[in-house]
Amino acid sequence: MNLVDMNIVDRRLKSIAEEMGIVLMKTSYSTIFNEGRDFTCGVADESCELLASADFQPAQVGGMPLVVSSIIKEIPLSEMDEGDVMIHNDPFRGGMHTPEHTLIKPVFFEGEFFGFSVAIGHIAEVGGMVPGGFPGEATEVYQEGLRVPPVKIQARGKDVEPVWKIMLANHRTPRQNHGDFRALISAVNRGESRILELIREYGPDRYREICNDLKDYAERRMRAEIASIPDGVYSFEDYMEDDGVTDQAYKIAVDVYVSQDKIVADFSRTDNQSRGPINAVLSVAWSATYNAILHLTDPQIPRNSGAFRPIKIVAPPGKLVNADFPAAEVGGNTETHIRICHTVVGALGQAIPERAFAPDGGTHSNFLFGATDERTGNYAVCYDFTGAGWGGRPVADGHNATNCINGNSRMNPVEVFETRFPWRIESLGLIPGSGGDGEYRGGLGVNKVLTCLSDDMEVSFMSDRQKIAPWGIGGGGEGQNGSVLIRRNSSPDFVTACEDSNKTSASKFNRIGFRKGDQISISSPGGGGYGDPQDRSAEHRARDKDEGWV
Amino acid sequence: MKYSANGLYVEEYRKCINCGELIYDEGLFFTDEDGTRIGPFSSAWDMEWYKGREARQNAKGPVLIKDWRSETQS
Repeated sequence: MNLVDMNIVDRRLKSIAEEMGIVLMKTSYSTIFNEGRDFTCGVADESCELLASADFQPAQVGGMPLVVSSIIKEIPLSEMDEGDVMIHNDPFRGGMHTPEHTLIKPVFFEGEFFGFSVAIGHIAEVGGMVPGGFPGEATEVYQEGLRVPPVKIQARGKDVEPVWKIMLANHRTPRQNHGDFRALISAVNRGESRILELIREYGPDRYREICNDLKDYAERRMRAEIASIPDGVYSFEDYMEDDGVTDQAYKIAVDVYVSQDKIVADFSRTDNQSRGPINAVLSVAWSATYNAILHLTDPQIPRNSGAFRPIKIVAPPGKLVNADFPAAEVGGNTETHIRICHTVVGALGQAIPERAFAPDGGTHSNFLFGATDERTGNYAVCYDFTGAGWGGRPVADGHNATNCINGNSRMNPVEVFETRFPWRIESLGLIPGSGGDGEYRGGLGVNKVLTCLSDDMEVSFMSDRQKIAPWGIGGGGEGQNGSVLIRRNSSPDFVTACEDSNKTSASKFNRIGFRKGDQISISSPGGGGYGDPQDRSAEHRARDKDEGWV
Repeated sequence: MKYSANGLYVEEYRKCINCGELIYDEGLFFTDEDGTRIGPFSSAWDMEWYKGREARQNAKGPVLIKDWRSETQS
């Protein structure tokens, strides 16, 4: 093993993934891509193992090997040619959730296969029962949008037109989606060309050798990290507060077994799958568990499949963490992922409290809407999210107004949002006192109030943490819950969706009609606090007061 | 996964009853004391882990975990 070459190739592969993401961001049409960056790009080898990914969406990283391998199970390599691009979003065949579309392009060098260029992106509108693809009251996957099993979207560099036509006929915003799919293809094309440059530079045999070394190195580093955790069984439980269809809370329970240099995360005690759309599928359980462990271990470990080898995930079928077909599942990748991830952190944090941290606000406050924009006459659909407070850490307060642990995405700028969609943002600001108290307090949530500028607006919502607060750690306090409130133009008061439209859940609901002048107020939760509040320094207390944070 | 004979659709989403991974072949089974066939499992490791649930719950102290890497974990 040549450590210099290995480090250079590691950085080059990561740089390739980052460049793919920049191409995707700059060429896409939707705000979810060009502002939100709700995508991930990566490089996989010929055995579908992840070699590198960029720092975009953690939700999509750990599941990437599973998604890629599931495509190969259905379209064998013998049926792939140079110039082919495969697409896939089926959550029950290895995907993550219905909006998440994975595109892969095989990389051939002088006719020999070397792996895949991979781009995964959240398409903002995929059909189904509500504009924006997050029906908070769905009870089956058919209501959540068009499922696309692994198929070729391009063959030998040419569009497979019937596939394009079927997909775009089933989406409410075909022009925008066409642009976003082209952007995803541009990303995998850029990845392919850069990977070929790398193979050409090092030679095919040396490239393979270095990539294998890289995975083995990541595995050794991860095994060493795990070996530093005391052997034992560490258990933790948390809840999703309801599923949008019933008022029942759902338990996520994990038993984390640490034995020498291996970890088994066993979710067998988790509740059975829900009727509503908070179910996670297996790739989400994998991603969330890896996400937690990557947050608790050395960030310098290369994030490739080698680092995942010492970790085994037990997620029995029919559980909330691995729902069976045809369960509704769209909230699993955004909301339940966060809860799975922090449940694993809560468990392992008992063994390594010096590395643990309190949970973030635990929801992306997914705000979906569709309406005719009178300025253009076009029908616009948007998937918008709001940052929450992050949890306190052993060394610092939690971040304010930041996309939760599986997101790493950015909030839409006010100017872009108002230009693109028929809403006026009346106010947007941090919520003082929303972070849990502690030696290091939780970060603050955000409130924004919007006025509707259309008469045919339909709003749906997918969130959580309105009833069960983000917990504190080591004596830290709970973060403040979030809320979604509606004020009709004719009324002075803001009320919940339950009060306004007789919905079962105030955090998850389908297509509530808005007219001009109606308002929505979205408040995201604060993060949990870390450590005893009595240990918070006078300097930090004074700064909180001066900045208006409490 | 069980596909239709023409390969155009899925007839059964077959998963390992322990780890939950999709199984593309028949999978592994064992027969319990009552003669019931239990499975499918994606690996011998999964079968052992599934059989060991009760023993782990009653275990005092750390549980030694066998390596799964020599088997089918992807």
